[in-house]
Amino acid sequence: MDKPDLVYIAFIATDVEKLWRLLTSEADSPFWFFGCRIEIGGAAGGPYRVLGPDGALAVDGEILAIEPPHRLRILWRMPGNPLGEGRQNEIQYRIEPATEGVVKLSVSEFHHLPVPDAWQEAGREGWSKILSALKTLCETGRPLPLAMGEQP
Amino acid sequence: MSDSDYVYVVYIRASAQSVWDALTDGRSTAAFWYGRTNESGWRKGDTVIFRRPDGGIDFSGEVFEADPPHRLSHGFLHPAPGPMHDEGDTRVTYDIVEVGGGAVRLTMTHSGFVEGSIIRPGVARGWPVILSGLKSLLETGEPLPDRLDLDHVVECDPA
Repeated sequence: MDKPDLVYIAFIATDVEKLWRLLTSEADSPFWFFGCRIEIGGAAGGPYRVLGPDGALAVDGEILAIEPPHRLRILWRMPGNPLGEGRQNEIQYRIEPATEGVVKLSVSEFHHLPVPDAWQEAGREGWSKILSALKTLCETGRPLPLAMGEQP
Repeated sequence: MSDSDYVYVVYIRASAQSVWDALTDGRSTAAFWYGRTNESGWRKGDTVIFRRPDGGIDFSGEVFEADPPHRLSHGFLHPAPGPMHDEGDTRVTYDIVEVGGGAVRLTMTHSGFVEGSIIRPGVARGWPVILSGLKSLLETGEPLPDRLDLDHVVECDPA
């Protein structure tokens, strides 16, 4: 479980604390989570939930580790989603300084089971939107208007 | 057997034409691609050359597909003799699609790696820097700082 199965990375011109605040802000989350809202506890063992734009529970997770402003690890359960059936994946956000004024944001996925292609495609789509939206929000102060499940 | 494709997706608030131009106008890449400039007519069959700041050729290839401003595919071969050259031609493909709201989805697929490729780990480190820099340049007018690129060049291209 120490080596991630999938990693998504973006470099963002911001500071570590600002990005951490965005990443853990329930109020700001719809602006970077394609309209979804997060609910997040403050300590390990606390909840991490993702609610869709319609209020439906998409992720019913749990905080496994929270080390402000650098690391957040979540048990990522997706009730009712066929993609998440029988899976207890872990998702880890890491925020690290890359150089002066730039941080490296990575999302790593840790799986107990082989990763199906459909999961990988959905993950690439979703995380790319999230990383792109966080970068735009940090660097321009304006949200990037992306919708969930929008397919080119 | 061959190593898997490396795919990077990024959403950019820009027109497809601006993304195309930044990749192909020859000079813009210097701001986000480790200082590299490029030379090509960008028509099918043309040669593409990417030059380092010292003028040396970083990689070159043939344009396989060019459908401006939406799809571009070209070869990627290190010209200097050595193990990276010996892996032969790999392929870089960009798909640029408008997604509404003044944004595009850019998908970069780097394919054609041999099994156990030493090129693939290097480009897997480089592409997030390059494409993050492209997004910053187009959305803010400012590239990411040079030092980031230089740090990663050392890691990315030990030759």
